[in-house]
Amino acid sequence: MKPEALKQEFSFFPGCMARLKLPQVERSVRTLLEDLGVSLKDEPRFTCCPDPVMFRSASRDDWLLLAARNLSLDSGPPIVTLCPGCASSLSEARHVLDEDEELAASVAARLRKLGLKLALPHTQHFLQILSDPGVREDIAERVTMRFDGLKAGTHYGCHLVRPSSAVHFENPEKPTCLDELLSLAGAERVDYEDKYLCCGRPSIDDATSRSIVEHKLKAMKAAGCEVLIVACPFCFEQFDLGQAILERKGGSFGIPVLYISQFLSLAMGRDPQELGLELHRIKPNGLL
Amino acid sequence: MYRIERSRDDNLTRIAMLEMARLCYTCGICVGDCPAARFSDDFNPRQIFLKVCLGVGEGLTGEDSPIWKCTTCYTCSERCPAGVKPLDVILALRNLSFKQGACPEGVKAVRASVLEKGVVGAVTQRITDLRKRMNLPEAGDDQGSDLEQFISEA
Ligand code: SF4
Ligand code: SF4
Repeated sequence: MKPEALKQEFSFFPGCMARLKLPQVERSVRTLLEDLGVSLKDEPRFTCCPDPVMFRSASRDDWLLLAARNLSLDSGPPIVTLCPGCASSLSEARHVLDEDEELAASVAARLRKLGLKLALPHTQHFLQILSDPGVREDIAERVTMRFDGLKAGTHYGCHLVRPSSAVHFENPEKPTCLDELLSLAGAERVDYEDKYLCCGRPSIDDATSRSIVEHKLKAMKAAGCEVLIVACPFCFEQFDLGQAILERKGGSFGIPVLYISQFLSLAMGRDPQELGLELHRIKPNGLL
Repeated sequence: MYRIERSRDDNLTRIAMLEMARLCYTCGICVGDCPAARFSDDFNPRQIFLKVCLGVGEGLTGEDSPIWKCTTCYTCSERCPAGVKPLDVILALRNLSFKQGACPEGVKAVRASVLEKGVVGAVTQRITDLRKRMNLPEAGDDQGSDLEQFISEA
């Protein structure tokens, strides 16, 4: 029987980063969700969420308007994203509009000019669907390739769980879903130093961003991580490309990075090539 | 939502919506686990908030301000026992910098890309080929045609 969480259709929100830079991430998320029986619907008019860091740094008012437009395009199914930034941005906009009637009325008036009616559908990262016990059971039953004893570090990504007032998912300081999902395929969790620290990527100051990622990679290596599992395209790039850049400058880490959907799809018997693993800077060949 | 405006002498910043300006205990909780404070020299969310409250925020806007170091991780806003949201203040200062035309090029570029094409980045031949090979829907970049007008209508 289909788990309760999958009985509805979701509007799929791929976001710019996966769509234009990391298609392997989008592929693996679609493959995983389809394999689990989630029905996804594409909405070609979706724009950038918009980006809660760069775009919102220019204008919070414009950020809210564009987020409201995305939310209102398809006044139907709830939205599922593959990027925590998109889920957090759309959820926070929804929260702001939900709390402030006057603001919502003025945004609704603007949307009417586009022929849209303000709607505030629930928006979530796909990990929220994977937290359903029925879905977890299903994944466990489908595992054909086990990773017993593999020391897997996880990095959750700040926007996956924050702001907790709008996102409502897991403990906002110490989430556990990635570690739980890994264990379904036998991988071993690693509690490296500063596991819950931001990856640094959204800092607009390169030096700050680099010192943070270097610190985290050193901590992972010291704790013996053989692979790093992430759930955010920006964190992915920070640890994969960022690691390659640090290695060119003499660093030595050798920690391949997998998106959680790539890891689970591999465990469920999908082919590494169809998941685009060859596109990664830090080659995950040793794992396969 | 905080709104920060320039005050009359044009140098200071102040919080316009005073009802949102909670009392900071100066406990430093927001500083302890701030990644930008830990990994750079001159960034301190408590100091930024207090300077804005006291109206001595000179130097907090503009391209060279420390505000751009923040990673927007939300740790400060989650942990503050007084309900202050230091990240919201930082975002408001960034918005003010943008309004003054004094913000990093990256921010302007992302905004321009979204308003023009609806997305951040470009649909290159490489990405078109990769998406086709992976059996993914075509990546459009023309959703933005109405956006500029949409946001500029007063
Ligand atoms: S949101 Fe910014 S100021 Fe607040 S803790 Fe994170 S990096 Fe520091
Ligand atoms: S955590 Fe809150 S009360 Fe404490 S110093 Fe920071 S802003 Fe002030």
